[in-house]
Amino acid sequence: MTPLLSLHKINAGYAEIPVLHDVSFSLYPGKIYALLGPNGGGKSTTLKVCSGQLNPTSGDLIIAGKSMTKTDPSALARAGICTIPEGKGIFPNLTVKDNLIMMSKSGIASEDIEEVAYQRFPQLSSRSRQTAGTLSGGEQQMLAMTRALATDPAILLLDELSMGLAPLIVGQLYEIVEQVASGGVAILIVEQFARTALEIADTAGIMLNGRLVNEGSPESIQKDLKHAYLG
Amino acid sequence: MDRPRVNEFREAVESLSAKTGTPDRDKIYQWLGALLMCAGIVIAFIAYFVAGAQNSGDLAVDNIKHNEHIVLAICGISVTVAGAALFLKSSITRFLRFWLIRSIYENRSRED
Repeated sequence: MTPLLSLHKINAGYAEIPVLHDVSFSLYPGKIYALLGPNGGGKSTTLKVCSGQLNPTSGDLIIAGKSMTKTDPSALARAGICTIPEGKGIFPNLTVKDNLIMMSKSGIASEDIEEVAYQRFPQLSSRSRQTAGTLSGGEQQMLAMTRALATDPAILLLDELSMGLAPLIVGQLYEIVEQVASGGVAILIVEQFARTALEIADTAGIMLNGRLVNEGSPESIQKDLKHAYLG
Repeated sequence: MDRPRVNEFREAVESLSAKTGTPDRDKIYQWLGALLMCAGIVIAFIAYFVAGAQNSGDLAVDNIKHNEHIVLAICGISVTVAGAALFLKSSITRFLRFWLIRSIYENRSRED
């Protein structure tokens, strides 16, 4: 199976500060890759490189077999790479309905987007006229996810999906992530809290100090987690 | 596992340019709009002054020439209106995009 997205020996950073060192991994259609590691390890920076928001200083970002290093991120988003950023990225002052409309693409009716969204997350339908900022953390994350899925992504990049949420809600959200992956979407999960992500991942990697120090099956990564987090 | 969406994605990526630094289209349209606005006004004034100076002694010829200049002046005004619309459209697009980005950043900092 050919990967949809590959990082090849990526080095990247902010201004003069290097953050990523020779990071390489691949995302495949229908597979979930969990990128784990403690805070400050370079996980979110890796995600920014994947979405084109941050240009690497060296290395190659290969998307669908084509080198796309330094490509306009909006073009990548239009092609089908969707990011749910840390902090959800919703508009708290707009209603649930308006948030969904904001993500509607030309050619797709907003009613269709709402219908699909409410089928996936029924609890959002009763709150369609409520401002998004007044929803619970879990509902806000559901809204963020449904907004992302409304764009029919080929690659979904999730940054800290579980942050600040109750375990039950995290479980529900990850169930949806699994369903989405089974539809052929390549998914990258960036997570600080590893256990739940490992339960649904097909492959996982541990990032420490900007390096991918370990990569393999969730079972093998699970064994190294304690060492990675506690040293 | 390749579903139609993945194939669509591969095709979309294939058609993408891997280069950055594409010209800012809105800015180009904005300048073009401003240029058309000025050009239209200049054309209308030239037509007015040339028509005013038209005096061949033959009223029929002068009438035909005046009509031609009236048409030219109307074309100039049309160019000005089209230019103004283009200028306004690209200016508003740039402003609304800026407003949206600002709103996103404000919301994000409020969440943090």
